[in-house]
Formats: sequence, C-alpha cells, structure tokens
Amino acid sequence: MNNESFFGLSSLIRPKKEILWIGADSEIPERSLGSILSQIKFSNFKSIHKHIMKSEYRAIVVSILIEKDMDVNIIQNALKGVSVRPIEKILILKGQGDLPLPNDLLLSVGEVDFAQTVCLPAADSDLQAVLKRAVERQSNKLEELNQQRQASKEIGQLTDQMRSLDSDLQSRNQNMQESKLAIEAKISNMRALVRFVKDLTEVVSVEDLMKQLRDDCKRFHRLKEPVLAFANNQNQLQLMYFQGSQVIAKVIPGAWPQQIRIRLNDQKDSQFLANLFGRPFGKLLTLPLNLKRKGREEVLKVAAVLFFEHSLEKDEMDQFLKFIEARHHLISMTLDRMLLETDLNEGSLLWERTFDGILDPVAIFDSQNQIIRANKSFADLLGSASSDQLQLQSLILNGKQYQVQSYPISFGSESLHTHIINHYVDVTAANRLQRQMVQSEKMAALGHLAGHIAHELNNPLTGIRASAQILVSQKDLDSTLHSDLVEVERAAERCQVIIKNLIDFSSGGIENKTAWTTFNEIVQKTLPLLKTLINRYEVQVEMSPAPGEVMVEPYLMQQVVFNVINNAAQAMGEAGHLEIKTFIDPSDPGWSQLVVKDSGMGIPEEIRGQIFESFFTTKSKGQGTGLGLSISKTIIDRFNGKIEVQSQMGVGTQFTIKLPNRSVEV
Amino acid sequence: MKVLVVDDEPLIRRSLRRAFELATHEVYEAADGIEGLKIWQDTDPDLVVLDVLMPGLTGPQVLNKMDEKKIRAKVILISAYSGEYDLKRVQNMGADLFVPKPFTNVFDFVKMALSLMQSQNPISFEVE
Repeated sequence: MNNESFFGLSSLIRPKKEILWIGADSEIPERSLGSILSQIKFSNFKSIHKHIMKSEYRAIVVSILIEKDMDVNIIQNALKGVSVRPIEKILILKGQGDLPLPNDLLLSVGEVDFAQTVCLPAADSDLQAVLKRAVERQSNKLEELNQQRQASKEIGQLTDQMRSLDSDLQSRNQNMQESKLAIEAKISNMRALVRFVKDLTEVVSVEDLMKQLRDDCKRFHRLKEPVLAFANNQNQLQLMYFQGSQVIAKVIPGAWPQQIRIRLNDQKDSQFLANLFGRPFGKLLTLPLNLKRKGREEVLKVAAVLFFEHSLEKDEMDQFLKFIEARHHLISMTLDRMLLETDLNEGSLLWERTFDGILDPVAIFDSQNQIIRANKSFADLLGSASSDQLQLQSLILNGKQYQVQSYPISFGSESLHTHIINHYVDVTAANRLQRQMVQSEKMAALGHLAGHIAHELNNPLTGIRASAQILVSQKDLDSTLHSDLVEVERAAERCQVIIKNLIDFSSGGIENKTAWTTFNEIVQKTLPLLKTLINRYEVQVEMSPAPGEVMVEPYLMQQVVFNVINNAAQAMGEAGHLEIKTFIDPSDPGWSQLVVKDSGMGIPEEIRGQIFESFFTTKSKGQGTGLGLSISKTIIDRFNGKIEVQSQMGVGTQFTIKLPNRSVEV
Repeated sequence: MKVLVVDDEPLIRRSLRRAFELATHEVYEAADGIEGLKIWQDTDPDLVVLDVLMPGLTGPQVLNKMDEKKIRAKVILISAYSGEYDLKRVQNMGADLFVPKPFTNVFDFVKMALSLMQSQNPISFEVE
C-alpha cells in the first residue's frame, strides 16, 4: 500500500476510507483495517488539511515517533479546523519502551483534541479495538450531530414557520384593522346616505333640495356650493345658485353643453358658467341629471345639470366622486319630483283658473246630488240656491233665468258615470230677446193683419160716413136728430183717422212723413178728437211756453197721445181729474216731456211692468184688445223716446212720454 | 146724367146713389165686376164709379173688357189701397180719376164727379 499510489492528491475522487493513518505504514494493524485506512506520511502534511476536508474520514490517527516527528506545528495546522465535522482524532505516540513523554509535546499536541492517545507498543487487537471504538464513537457523534443538525434545522424551520405565521397574523390583523376601518367608513357613508335620503323625502322645493345638497357636501371642505341649472324649455334655463345662505333663481335664455357623462374640468362648462356669472371658474365637477321631465321640448338630451366648483386634491376628488355618484340618482329623482310637482300645480292652477274663468256657473255633482266642486261664478250667482232648485232643468234666481245643461262624467277607473257636470246657462237675455222677437213677429203679423183689417174696414166706413153726411144734409131734421147724426159722422171720421194711422203704421212707414214738431202741437191736434170723451172730467192742460222740437211722424204720435189719454179716461170712469202737461226738465234738457196724469184707480204693482206688452189688457173680452199701449210704446221707441208709468192704487196714474230734443247747435 | 156705381160694399152704393140722386142724376148699381160689365153695356152711363177690388172681375179687368168693346164713359176708380196708383197709371188703365177710400166728404166727391163729366166730350152728354 503505497500511499502515493493509493490516491493521487490531485485526484478529486473522495476516498471511501474511514480512517486516515498519518504515519508510517508499518504500524498499521493488519487485519481488515486496510480497507478503511488511508495512509499518509508526515512529509505530506501540507496538503493533509485540504485532503481531510475533502474526505469523509471518521477518524484520524496520527502516529508520532517522539524523536523523529517533533514538528507538531504541522500536525496542529493540519488538524486544526477539522472540527467542522466530527472526526475522532487519535494520537498514537511511539517511543522506545516506556519513555516518558515530554510535556511540551503532549501539551501542544493536546491543543488538537485528540480523542485518545495510545502509547505504543500496543497489541494489534487493542489498536483495532481503539480504532473500531473510534469509528463507532465518531459514528455516534456524527449521528448525534446529524440529529442535532436535523433538530436545529427543524427548529429553524419551525422558527421560520412561526415567523411567517407571525407575519401572516400581523398582516391579517392589519387587514382586519383595515377592513374594520373600511367597514366603519362604509357604514358611516351608508348612514350619511340614509340621512340624505330621509332629508330628501322632506324636501318641498328646489331651494330645499339645493340646501340639502349643500349641507350634505359640507364634509368636503374644498367644495363650493352647487350650482343647478334645469330647462324650462328648449331655449330657456332656470338657474339656481347660492348667494350667501340664500338660493337665487334666475331665468336665462340659452342652452348648455349637452353631454351626458359626468366630467371634470370641462372647458365648455367653465366657459358656460363664466359667461353666466361674469367671473372665471376654477376646477369643476359637472353632474348631468337624468330627469323624466324633460321640459316642454323632448329635444334636450340633458334636462338638468349640477356644477360643483372645487379645489379638491386627487384622492379627495375620488372620494367625492364616489360620494356624489351614490347620490346621483337620488338627486335626479328628487329634482324630477319637484319639477313635476310644479308642472302639475301649474297645470292644476291653469285648470282651476279656467274653471273659475268661465262666467257661467258650473258645478259638479256626485251620485248623492252633493256638490263636489263649483266654480266662482256658481258661488257668486247660485250660492243661495237650495239643493232642490239646483236639480231642476231650469231655475230662476235673483232675477235671472238659467237653463241647465247636464253632462255625465266618470271619475276614477269606473266606466260607469259617477258624476254630473251642470252648466247653468243664463238665458235671461236670450229669453227676453226671444220674447221680443216673438213680440216683433206678433207685431209684424199684427201689422199685416191690421193692414188688411184696416182696408176691409174702410169700405163700410166709407159708406157710413157718406151716409151720415147725406143724412146730415137733410133739411127738416129735428135738432136732436141732426146733432146725433153729426156725432155719428164725427165718429166715422175718427174711425177713418184711426184706420188710416193703422194702415200707415202697419205699412212700416212707406210714407215716412217725419217732421219736426212739438208736444204742444201734437196735443193740440189730438185733443179735439177726444173732446166728447174728456169733457166730463176736470181737465188741466199746461203747455210749456218753450217746448222742445222733436222729430216724429205726427200722425203716429197723435195716436200715442190719443191712446194714453183714452186710457186715463177709462181708468177714471165717470169723473175725475185729468192733467196734461208739456215741459222740459232743466236738469235733463235732452228730453222733451209730456205728462198725462189721471185720478183713476191706479195700476197694481204686479202688472205695472206688463202693461206695455201686446195683448195685455185688464178689460174683459171684447172690450179692449190691449193693443194701444204696446203699439204706443213701439211708436215711441221708434222715435228714440221713452214712456214711463207711475201709479198709486186708489190715487191715480201718471204716464210720462219723453222724446229727444232737437239739440241746439251752439 | 147716368151714373153707374160698381162696388161690393152696399152702403157705399147706397150712399153714392143718395148723393147723386140729390144732384138729380140717374143712378144704376152693380155689386160686382161681372154685373157691372153687363149693366154698363146695357145702360151706357156717362160716369162709372168703379171699385178696384171686387169679387169676380176687378175694376181694372172691367175696364179692359170695356176698352175692347170701345165703350166710353168717364171712369172714377175708387179704392182703399191708395199707394199703388198715380194719375198716369190710372189713365193708362183707361180711367180718368182715382179717388182713395174713404172719401172725406161724399158731396165733394159728387161735385168732382160732375165736373169731370162736364169737362170733356160734350158728345157723351145725353139728357135722358
């Protein structure tokens, strides 16, 4: 076993030997150890260290001859640092006989922790045993060491695990902490949102909404108060903004940018606001609102916008964006509600105004005939009517006559009629007009008839008058007969006059013989015709010295005067006092007046209004046709005059006829 | 002279008769146009007082008929309807005068009729 041929020191192959014998090979015990041994001489100590480190020796035997091998430094150097792994180091001291070992040597060698020192000579078996024991011990130590390392490794692992668990825990704690904070923040946000919602339900106007919004945004200190703009119609905006703590509303013409997205620092928006407020605007958040009510025109994409001027930093802005987005829909809804309510109220007000603006009374009745609703006219004009009266088809109240038009309607989802609208049409005037028309027609028919009758009457009348004239001309009539006949003739003449007037009157004035005349003249022409009639009364005639000139058809006016005086005579019967007066009232100089006053029985109040109506007569059948006064009134009306009656039962009656005076041109 | 009075009103005929008879004239009467036509033809009067509106033939119709027969007399038309007649029209119809009814005075009427009878055509003057 040549040590050099055993292993080349340059070889990197690790020897699989377990024991390194450093020393001469002659000392190596023989049996079986050869397989586990490597051997190296002292002279190669320099490279021993390296060699040992590369090997897996369990034990190293250093065999030193005391004399020869005294350079222990080399041994020390070689064996120093070999303690990186358990290697049993055995020192074999060789001497001759039982030489005492020099202490220095032992001490210095002892610095290398030899496990055992064997002094030679020693039996081979002892050496073997030592070596074996050394190897065993080393194995054990190695075992222990490995175990220790293992344990240590495990401990290290555990420690690492613990450490990582620890950090895990910590991070989890942190997460929990963060989550907790986040959750708390979330809860706080939700609470704020809920408060906001609740506050919004109590909002009753757009101003309220703005104030709520401002209050809710107060936590964002660098946010200015919001500006709201919404469309009244396509060309008109309603602008609302804060001035101090007040909300100012302004209507302005124009349009705004129609983008529908939420945007920051949009130039157009800044420009728009700058133009409105006359000042530059800083950073802006623009929040278009989505309204169901899109203003009067459907053309607008964006019906309302909120602007927030601010100086928020980036993360505040992120927060605010989240904040405002959570509230976006709510704000839109609330504004919508406000505006729709306004629209509704306006619409409702318009209807109310319309309803009340109708001058005819209108009322809505339910199925129990109770009034649900009535307009102002109804309250004013029919408020005092009883509920029975209101159910009639026509009713008279306060001198007015109403025709009721009823329309059934249904309220609610019923298809059956639930209510009735009653429209009370004032037909007073219409009725009067109709009566007048009827009267006119009657008068026209009458006139026509009268014309015919008149012509028919003329025939016998011609004969009567002629005969009377002939009779009167007879000589030798006794005076009574003669005067009777004269009266007959005069009566006939009067008849002819009346008939002629009637014909003239009924022909509608074909011969329009109007002329300026005076009441004095008319009375003077008429009185002779009435001489026999009125000479039984006390007659007082007062003719005004300055009667006014009136434009009339003299014949017709004569008829009127005749008629009125005739009536007076009939009222007085056998005796009475008759007064006839013409004059101009200085306080009423536009009229020429004629008064005929009698001391007859008077006209009862109830019929006083009807005496001028055609065919109205208090005389029994056959005695009077009742034409006189109505025709008289028509004649007077034709000449733009008036006729009035005053009467007191049992005292007398006074008729006043007025005709417009000829105005004197100054 | 002979006078014919044609009118459907009896009292007119009667009173005119009286008036003319008082002036000593011969008076004939007819109550309607047809009778009037016949009597005119039969008696050939000097003056005819003719009512316009009568049953049967009206006054103008009678005149027409007489015109055809070329029988001449003085004719006074009388009528209650005065508005439609003026002198020219009356003369176109073949009458000489128009007097509206009622007459103011029957004697004046007779005077007027007499002067009409005497005014023209002495040939027609006949003393019966």
